Amino acid sequence: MSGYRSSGAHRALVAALLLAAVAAAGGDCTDPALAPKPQIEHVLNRIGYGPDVWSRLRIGGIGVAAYIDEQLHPESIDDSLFEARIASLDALQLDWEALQASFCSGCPMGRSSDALDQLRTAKLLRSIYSRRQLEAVLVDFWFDHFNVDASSGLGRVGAVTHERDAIRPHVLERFEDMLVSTAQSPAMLDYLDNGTNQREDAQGLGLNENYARELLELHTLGVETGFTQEDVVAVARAMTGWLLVQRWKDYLLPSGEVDHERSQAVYEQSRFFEFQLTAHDRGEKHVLRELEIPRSGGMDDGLALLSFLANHPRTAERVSTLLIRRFVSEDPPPQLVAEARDTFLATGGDLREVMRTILTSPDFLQEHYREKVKRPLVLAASLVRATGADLRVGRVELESVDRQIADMGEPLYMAPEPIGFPEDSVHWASSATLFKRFNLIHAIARNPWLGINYGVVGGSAGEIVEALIPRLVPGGISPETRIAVSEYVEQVKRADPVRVSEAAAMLLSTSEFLTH
Amino acid sequence: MSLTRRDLMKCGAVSLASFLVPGAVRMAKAGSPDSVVVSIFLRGAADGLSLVVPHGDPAYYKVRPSIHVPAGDVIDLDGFYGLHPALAPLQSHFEAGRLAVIHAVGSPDATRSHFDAQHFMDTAQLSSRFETRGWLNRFLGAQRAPDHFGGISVGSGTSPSLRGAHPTLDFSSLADFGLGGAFAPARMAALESLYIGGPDFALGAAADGAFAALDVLARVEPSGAGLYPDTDFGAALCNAAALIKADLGVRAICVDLGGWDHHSEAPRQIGPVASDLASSLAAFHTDLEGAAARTLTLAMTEFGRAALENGSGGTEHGHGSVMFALGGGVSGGRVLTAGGAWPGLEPENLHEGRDLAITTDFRDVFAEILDRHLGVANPSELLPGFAVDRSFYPGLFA
Repeated sequence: MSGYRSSGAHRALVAALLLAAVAAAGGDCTDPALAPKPQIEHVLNRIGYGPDVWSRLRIGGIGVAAYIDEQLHPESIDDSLFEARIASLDALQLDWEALQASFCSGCPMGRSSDALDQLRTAKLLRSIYSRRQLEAVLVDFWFDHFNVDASSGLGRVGAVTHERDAIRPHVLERFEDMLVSTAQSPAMLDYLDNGTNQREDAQGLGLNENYARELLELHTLGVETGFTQEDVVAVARAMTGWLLVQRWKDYLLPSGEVDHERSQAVYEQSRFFEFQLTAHDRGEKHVLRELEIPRSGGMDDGLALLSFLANHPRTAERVSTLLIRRFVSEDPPPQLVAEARDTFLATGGDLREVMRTILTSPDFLQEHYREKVKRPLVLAASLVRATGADLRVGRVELESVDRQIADMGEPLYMAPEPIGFPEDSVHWASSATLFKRFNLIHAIARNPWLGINYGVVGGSAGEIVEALIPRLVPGGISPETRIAVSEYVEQVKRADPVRVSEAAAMLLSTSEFLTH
Repeated sequence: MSLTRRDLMKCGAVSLASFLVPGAVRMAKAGSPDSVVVSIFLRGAADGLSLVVPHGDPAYYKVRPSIHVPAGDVIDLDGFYGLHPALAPLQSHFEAGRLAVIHAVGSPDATRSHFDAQHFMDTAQLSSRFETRGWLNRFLGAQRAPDHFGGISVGSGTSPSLRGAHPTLDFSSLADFGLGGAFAPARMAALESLYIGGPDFALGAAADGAFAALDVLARVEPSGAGLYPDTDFGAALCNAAALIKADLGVRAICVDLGGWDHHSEAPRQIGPVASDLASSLAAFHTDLEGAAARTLTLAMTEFGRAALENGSGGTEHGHGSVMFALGGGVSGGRVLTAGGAWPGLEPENLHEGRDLAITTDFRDVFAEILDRHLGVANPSELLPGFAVDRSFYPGLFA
């Protein structure tokens, strides 16, 4: 599959640009000043949500290799402008206890459902405005990997801490740490039921295999490993006692007296992770004929299991394959999978090094340009970044974009199945969403209230299109596309600002922009 | 920014179809080129033992001590099987002989992976993750069904059952299929010139379908909005009924209904989704009017749930489950199992000691529908790796 309508023409163009750049740079095609534009667009598209002004200047200034390295160390990037944009979203600052107490539905003083709304807003704004673009993409990737559905149950508030505490700190650190933290995440314990998984003879309750199965199938080894039902039961037994439990806490009225009504309501609706030895199956377990967990263990049974799974060669291969599907190609090159897997195993699952192996490979840097169809969030974020539109918390435009992403099949944080949203161009390239994509693009690109300045005052149709290309589709467009867009702009007999924004909307509607 | 899935899909509420091409309401017989299959995939593994309860089997109450459907709540069908109370809207269809249930049906593949099992059922190929063509896409190709309109997915993206070389269409709602904003006609022409004629990549194929459908779908007007429950699934079937009645050459429609993976608190969870299924199907049948006779609706699920309840008041992934076949000349009013035998729920009867066994291979159901409803001369060609034998058909059309 190729991302271009006339892929041959595009390939020739890329090749010509690459050759010219290589020749001019004396063979060093990573020279910052001379990195070919299709490569710059590609890198910004894949390790982020597309080019914006800052990222274009930054990658142009320090070069592709240094930009990638900088993105691999997000803590080194000043993100204060973005942080200021989300400062008013107070739910995101609260710890788990305060979050549940403030947002439990039906609680007196509880704000019913807007913790999730704040999280959705923050995700959209982060995708658009955070300079830590790779981290934003990785958090999206790993949320899909460890998916919880925030549309019901504890997920409505739990998605906040699931992402913030269980996933984000680990996306460029050790995989094992992320596996352990997601295993203890209240949203996960609720969504895949491990929070009720107990040893068989405990007061009428008993095993729940839901988490155990998806832990093996989705989070670690993969179904191809051929684990058996006995393995699932053994894993479920090892994870018994990792429970969601209620805790009483006194909440006080302004007068200083205990607010019994609120305390009771919070108690009923709050859940905390707690290991309870009395609910743990302390018998011995055998997993995959490889791991023997001796009898009389406690929480260390589960930790030993998670460590075994996190560092298993099949997990290394599966995680590498999934990352490469996201960042490189949906038909992952076997050699690159092997290299990433080897890095994973050699570094004890250091995800920064796995990402470095992938992002510095020729497969990533030089192939598969515009091969993938943008997912709805990617489309929306890259659209706003390209136009420079200013979306703010509380503004109707931001809510509208969120709604349209959902309408195109990606309601943020609400993928119903444990596998998350599909990383699959054929799925996202649907007839149903095509016009929705065009409508969203037109609505943003033409909107006069978003502070968009295309930096083009007017001219002939051809001149306008030419002037917009470096900013909107810096990797270039095919000759056929250039003609079709110019012919359209010819027909718009209006004032120059309208012609410019119509030209922008049409350029952003091309397959060159809808793919990445 | 409150948003629910409810907001995502609407069935345009308008008057009776103002657009019906001449001949649209003609009656057609099953097996003719006008016959339609509507595939409802209950994704997430629906519990056949709760949907169609074997209340005549005492072992049912033993394997489900705390989560059985109480005997007094079961809607008895034949003295042995009965419907979950939330399926009450289907009772009259069963009694009128329009609805057949196939019980203890499923895949011979023993996987308990949702994703593998769905893939095997969508492709009607067991044990291969490499086959990507959906069984209904193979049907459309073999029947030379119309491009785009022959097979339609209603919901989010192309249904895996319809994926493949034969061009199909997907849409989420008739009400918002098209271009909005300024200069729409000129933009549409420009976009068409940008996208049409580009074969060979995903976006081009989607664009071909979208532009082809634009004019046609603009004239299709759903007429049954008031009949359906206010759910995404109801809206999807409302749109599906309009497409079938508009006589566009539709042969296969796919709609998903998820939300069946009840590992805990199963009795509380199954009611709403079962109710959505039943009331939407009943509305759909009414809405189809004269087209109901040529439209067979088949509801399936990737596997059933364990017969034995788990420790959380729910059920784990299991094996055998149920299918529902409504309309399209089905000889209903019967719960079908191979040889009329119930596999039983005593420990020695259970698949791997815990699940309802299967007596009917789901591919036998597909084969019978392809053969006797859809008029496929040789269903074996559409079910690779499966030897079709009419003596194994479940007997939907007796």
